[in-house]
Parts: sequence; structure tokens; C-alpha cells
Amino acid sequence: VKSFIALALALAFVAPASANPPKLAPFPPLEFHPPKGVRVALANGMLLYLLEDHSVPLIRASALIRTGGVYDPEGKIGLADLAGRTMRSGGSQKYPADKMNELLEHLAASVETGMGLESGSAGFSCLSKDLDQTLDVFADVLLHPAFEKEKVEVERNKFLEALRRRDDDPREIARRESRRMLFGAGSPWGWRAEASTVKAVTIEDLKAFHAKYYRPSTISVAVAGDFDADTLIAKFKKAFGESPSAEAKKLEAPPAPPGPAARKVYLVDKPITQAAVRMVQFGFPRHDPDHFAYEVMNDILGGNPFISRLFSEVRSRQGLAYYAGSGFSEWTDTGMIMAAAGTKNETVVTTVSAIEKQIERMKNAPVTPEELKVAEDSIANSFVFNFTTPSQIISQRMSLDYYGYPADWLETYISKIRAVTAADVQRVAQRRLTPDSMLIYVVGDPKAFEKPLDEFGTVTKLKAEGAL
Amino acid sequence: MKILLLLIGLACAQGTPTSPGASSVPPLPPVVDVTLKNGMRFLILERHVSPTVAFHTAYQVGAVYDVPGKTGLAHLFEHMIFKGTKTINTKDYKSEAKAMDRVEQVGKELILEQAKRQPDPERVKKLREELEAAQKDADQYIVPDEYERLYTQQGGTHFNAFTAEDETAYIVSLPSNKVDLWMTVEADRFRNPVLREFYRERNVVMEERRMNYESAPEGAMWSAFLASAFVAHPYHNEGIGWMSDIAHISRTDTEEFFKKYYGPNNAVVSIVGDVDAKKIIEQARAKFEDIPTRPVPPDLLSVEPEQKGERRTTVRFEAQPRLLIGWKKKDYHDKDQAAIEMIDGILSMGRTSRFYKNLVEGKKLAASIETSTDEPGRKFPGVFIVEAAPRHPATPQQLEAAIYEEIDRLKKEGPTEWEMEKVRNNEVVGLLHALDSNEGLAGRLADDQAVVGDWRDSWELVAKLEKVTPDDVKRVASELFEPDHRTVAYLLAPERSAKAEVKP
Repeated sequence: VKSFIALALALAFVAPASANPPKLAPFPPLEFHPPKGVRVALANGMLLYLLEDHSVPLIRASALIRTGGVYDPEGKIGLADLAGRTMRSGGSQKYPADKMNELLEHLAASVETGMGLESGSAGFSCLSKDLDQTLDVFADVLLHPAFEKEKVEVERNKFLEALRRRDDDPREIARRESRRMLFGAGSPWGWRAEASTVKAVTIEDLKAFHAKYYRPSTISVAVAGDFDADTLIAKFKKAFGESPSAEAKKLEAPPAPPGPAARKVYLVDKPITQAAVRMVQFGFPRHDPDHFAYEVMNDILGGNPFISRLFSEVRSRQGLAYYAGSGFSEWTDTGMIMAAAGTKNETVVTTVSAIEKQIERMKNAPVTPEELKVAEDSIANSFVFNFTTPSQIISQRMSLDYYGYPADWLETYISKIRAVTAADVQRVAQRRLTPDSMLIYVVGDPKAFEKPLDEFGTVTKLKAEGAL
Repeated sequence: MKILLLLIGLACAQGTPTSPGASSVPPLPPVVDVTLKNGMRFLILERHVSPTVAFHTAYQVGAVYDVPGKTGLAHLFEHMIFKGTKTINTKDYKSEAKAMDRVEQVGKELILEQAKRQPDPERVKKLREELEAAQKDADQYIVPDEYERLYTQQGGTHFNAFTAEDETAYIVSLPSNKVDLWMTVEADRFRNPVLREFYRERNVVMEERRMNYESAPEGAMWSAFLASAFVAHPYHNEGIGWMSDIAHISRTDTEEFFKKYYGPNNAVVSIVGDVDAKKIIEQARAKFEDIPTRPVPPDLLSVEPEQKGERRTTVRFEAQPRLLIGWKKKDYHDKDQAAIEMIDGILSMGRTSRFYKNLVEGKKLAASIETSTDEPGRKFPGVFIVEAAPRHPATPQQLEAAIYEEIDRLKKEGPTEWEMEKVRNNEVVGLLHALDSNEGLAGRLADDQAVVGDWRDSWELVAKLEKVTPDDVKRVASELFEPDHRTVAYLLAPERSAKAEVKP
């Protein structure tokens, strides 16, 4: 779960001939100058990122809007999410929902909207010949959504049904609840929507939400495909208007609770054969100087599929789990570090201990030069996969801008990874990893555990049905 | 429809303008299709968008070739071939081989003891300890994870493998300056695999089964559905295998499986990306052509007899209700396949589809509903399925009845021209979208070649859609949706908790 945001710009990759597996001639150098596209700020405040690509007669766009689920009011958790679901499906001023569906689906085009924690999202795709029509719908959805009552109720009910089903899958319980217990049910970083908060959202709330957050100055759009950039800019001006809109306010992310917390252990009793184990602790926000060293550290600890220490030890050597790994998320003001595995009930304690041991080992001893080299090579050599399609290239440029990354982020990425030393890795492990206070969340059948979980701390027992 | 793919790791397609309304099929991509002298087939497509290349190797062997009592064998082999070769993952293969023989000897004894009607618990315990000790002894010769490290360190991504009912595929993408690495490593791997650490990896596979089929409601329902819908054909068995069968598989069994099915003539490799096709052919000849051809065993699989009456099955699981309905269909190569694809689109493609419009919206009975044309595979006659989740307070029974009403209406009234045009347009544009990814294209080419015998299948099917008439849809719907040919699976909460439910 690397929070490695798809990364672009005037990059030149020249990968040197590196150490090779036996019997292979040195690899030829790889030179690559990915296109960077253009960034245009319109008079109305909207930011456009454009990359032409005429190989296929398609156009694809993705947008980010300055809002997000963490800004929900407390009694109406789920408001942003429901707005994200209904802005498109509830139709728009010019295009009633059913008409919009018929129009787009007949063209095999799409316009969609959604919601993240710290951003709203939207996008469209169409054949290049249908650009005018699709863009007109896209702009009307973003600027004048209608939130038709009947469609809002359909989405609200789908939302409620998803809440009703949220404890069906043990891994989903562990993912959601471990975070909720870490940050607290009252913190936007941990809370979850409930039937009551979703039912409390009115159509007026949705309209007010839209009016508060959506206008050209809060919207960034990345477009790739078969178009002429100047013509497309003119079309966007026409579709979204040219008059300046109120400047986007910098949103204040809600504060995270202070950490580190004391060790807590939670157990959900569910009659299944494989227990879901998840261990979480506070992490660090994006733009933290530790990012690069931590990325390398996490790669070695549990981020790299197949060869990380957690995968190698817990899965390949001990056969305890099918999945075993670690990850981290970086948000504006806070972050989260996690490790997870799934193991039969009979080896739950063994598995938690095995994960703890690897975390301790990361703190207590430096990684080997070989491990460091493999991790850095792996990140550097696979970097080119961040630039495989025009839409990927241009949307990651937008996304980096949106989250405030410096302009040279991509150009300097590999050298910053390469600069990480074994001492840096151990330093961030010691500074960031706090296994003693990691929250342990287990969903499984305790009757079959080889030992009680108590050895990790006082266990809070929960029932999946209703009590979560 | 989500098929549960058995992956080794977690999870983790160009043309000319068309105009919907008069949708025209994109032209075939310029695939270079070469078969080596030993029968190994290479499909190469140059795409110079980025300096990357996707490799997708599909062997025409899947879980259907597992034998009774040893289901899960094809999938277990897929895991084992990540364990290295006689030169990769080992410090000293000769010594290691001796140590591995000891592991295998104990492993087989343990299998025999555990399979007894009344295993001797003392002996089982002793053999387990001996197995552990023998494996520890063999460990001294191992270079752990070396094979995986070769790709990962060189920038490999999308590194994975999956076992389906009808094929097994091995996947990796590399920066395009590293084609040599793939050629060298894969030629060694499919010639000299060494299935080291077998009994540990077998435990990993058991965990995969627990995760996807025992602890996840959709997997539990899917297994029960297949076991009920197919009585003779091996589609009866979920590809991961029954737990007791996995426990009965030895390394020797797995090696024999490899020898039987992994001849070069049973493989299709697609290579899509920034490569020079001529050079790829030269390299492939140099690295793979001398692997000896092996006779491919004939498909002596049981044939599913005609179903003569509806079948129903229920799975109790701590979860909200779901249902799965499947109708037996004809072979994928039947002339009516395109009409079935059309039915699939009319019923469930998008917000204007009949199921969405009438069951999710309209009657408000479903939270989600999806259809799929060929499950669990396309090589042998399978089922057309509808998978749905009722929306509270609707019951599965109410939703099931409403699904039949929609189907009966399609049988009686047929489709509208608008619906058919929508499906055709989306299929054409879908093919254009597929052209955007090396991995997507490589998978499509190799899988279609390996499973249905022609990498051009996607393009041909879209062309065939153009010829489907409303009457075809009506006729094929009537034939396909025959009540006596259907199997219905419900996933329901255990009765006690269904009553005690305190959910909002």
C-alpha cells in the first residue's frame, strides 16, 4: 500500500549498466524522455494539464477538486462521499440523469465523479469525435449538478446497503476498524459513515456542499489523447466560462490525535478459518523529509512483493500466510503505518510475533548492503513504469501539483532514493516504527488460536454482528 | 463479474477512427505470430509508447486437468515454479538434491499416514518434526528468493502468475533493455524447475484457500455453485482444490504434472511493447527452440451430461445475502456466441441496462447485479451467470423472481435497436481502450490463443456482433434461459444470526 503517487516532467532516464545476474551481458542503457505535456492556468482559475497523443481516436480526462471526505461535518459523515456518488448520477441542469445516461452510453463515452479523503475526483472518456458533446456534459455535471431526488435515493440506498455489508469480509473489517481505533471514532482520519449520518444528509446539504467546494478555481483537469491543445483550451474556456471564480481556499486538514498511543489489542470473533491480522500506528505527513529513506525501508520490510522481509519470512520461509506485507499512507497533517497478514487461526500468535520480530529487527540492526542495493535498484529501475501511457503521465503531473510537490520532484526522485544509506534506513526505522505501541487488530475465531492474544496486551473483544 | 483468480502473489491494448452509430471494428493489430520448431508459439506486438515490455506466457493447462483426489495440483505447480532452477535459488544443487530427497521421503510418508482412516497422532507428530528437520537441513543450500529478486531488482513490475480452469499464465513486465533477462531466466525456469521448499509453499496455498474460499462470502458461494452446477465435468471443482486434496499432493506428483503438461508445444507467449520483433524471434529461437517437444495428453475429460432440472444450493455464512444463477450454455465456438455477448450487454452494461434500470433503480430490489457469459472458463461449455446482492429489505427470493421477469421479457419482446447499437458501440470503443496497455494486450492475445485457439478472437467477436439481429437475441435468450438448465446458489446468514441481526 505504498502511497507513491503516480509520479513526470522533463525526465531523462539513463539507467547505467547495473550488476547482472550470472551469465548475462550488461544491459544496454535505457534512455527515455517522457513527454511532459503543458500546464495552463485559465482566467477562471481552472488548471489544465494537456498531453496530445494521436495513436488512438480517444480522449481521456481526470480531474481533482479541492474538497474531500475529511471535511465532513460531524453529524453528516458521508456527505462528501454521497455528493461524489450523486453529482454525476443525479443528472445536471441541462442533462436530466436518464437522458445523460442514454446519451453517454450510446456514444460509449463516460463521465464520472467520486470522492477521496482529501480530494474530489471526476473524469471523462470519449471518442475524439464526441469531445464537444462529452465536455459539455462534464462541465454541466461539475458546475450545475441537479441532485435529482430519485437518483439521490438510489445512491443513498446503495450506500446504506454497503454499510450493512461492511462486516462481510474479515480483511475489510480489519482495514477499516484498525484505523478507526487508532485515530479514534471521532476523528475524520478514523471515522466512518453510519446509517444515521448518511440518512441525515439532505438534498439541500448536497447542493450546499457543491456550492461551497466546486467552481473553476478549485478544479484541475488532466487530459490526454487525440486533440489539438489550443483548440481544447478554447473549448474548456467556453464550457467552464472565462470569468474569474473565487480563489480556492487552502483547506485546513483536521488535526490528527496526538501519538504514539499505548498498545491496544482488538479481537473480533468471527467464525472463519483464516484470521485477518492488521497492525497499525501513526505515520508521518506527506512532504516529510523522511519520505525517501522510509520508502526504501518499507520496501525492505514489507513493501516489495515476493522479496521483502515480511513476505520472505512469514510467507515463503514459514508458510504462515498467503499475504504478508507492510505499507504507509501520507496525508496532509498525518499519516499511518501498517503491516498485515492472513493466517489460519492456529497460527495467529505466531504470525503477530513474526511480524513484530521483523519490525524490531529493522530498528535494531542496519540492513545489509545487498538489501539496500536491491531495494534502491528496484525502485529506480521500475520508475519508468510511471510513464507508460499519456493519461498516466499527465494525470500524475496534475496530482503532484495538487498535493504541493516541488516541480523537480520527478527529476530528482531517483537520485534521492539512491542517496539513502543503510544508516538512514535504520534512523527512520528507529524514529518512526513503534512496535511497542502498535495497535493490533485481529478478526478470527479465538477458540482455535494456539494461544490467547493476551500476551500482546489487554484484549478488547468485539462481535462482528452489530457491535463494531 | 469477478472471477476469483488464483494468483501467486497479491494483486495486485491501436486502430483507426470509428464512428458509433455505424460502429466499425478496429483493424487487427500487426501481431507477429511465430511458432518455433518445437511448437512453442510467440505472439509479438511492437508498441513504442514507452521503453517497457510486457511478457505473458500461457500454458494450455489449467485446473480442469487436476485428477480426482489431487485437485489443486495445477495451481500448486504454478506456485512451485517460482522456487528456482538447478542454478537459481541454490548454492549447490547436487547436495541440495540429496537433502530434498529426504524431505520428499518424509513428506510422502506423512501424506500416507494422514490419509489413513485412523492416523496415529504420535506418528504424525514425529513425521512432522522430521519433515521440519529435513527441510531445515535442505535450507543450507538455498539462496532464498533469488528468482524473484532477479526481476524485482531489474525493475520488474506486474510480476505474477495465475491458474484458471483452462490455462495457467506467468506474467512480468520489464524495462525494454532487459529482454535478455526474461529470455535467459524463463528458458531455464521452464526447462529445469526445482520445486524446493515444497511443503512450505503447500501451506501458503492452503492459506490462499482459507482466504478466498473459506473466509470470503463470494468465494464460498462460488465453490458451492460450481459443485452443484457441474456433476461430471471438472468445472465441478474450484481451481484451488479441496483442502484435503491439497494435503495429499506430494512434490513428486507436482513434478509429474510438469513433465506431462509443460512441453514447449503447449505454451503461447505474448510479448508486447518496445521491442524489435525480428530480434525477439532470433532470441526466442536461441533460447527456447531446443527444449524438446513433448506429446500433449489428449483431453480425456468427462463430458457434462445435459442438466434435466433446476438445482438449488445454499451456503450459510456470516454475511449479508447474495445469489448466483447460472444457465448451462453451448460451446464458446457455437454460432450463437455473439448473440449471448449481446444479451450480456443488454442485461447489465451500464446504467441504461435492463438490470440496472429496473432492478437497482425501478423496483429497488438489488444493490448490485452483474452478468458474465462464460464461467468458469471458455474452453469447455460453461454457464452464463447472474450474480446479485439484494438490497435490504428485499429478499433473495424477491430478487430472483424479478431477474426471471426481466429475462422472460427479453425472451418475449426481444431487444430494441437502440440497446443493440449501444452494446456494439461500447464493444468497439472497449477494444480501442484495450490498446492502451502492454499488459492488457499481452494478456488478451495469449489467453485467447491458449483458451479459445485464436488471438484474433476479441476483434472477430466484435465483428460478429454487427451481424446479430433482434430475432437472434430473442431466439438465443429462449434457448439459453431454460429453467431446467439453471443452478441457483444462495448465500445466507446462519439462521441464529439472521434473527439476531441488529444492523441498521
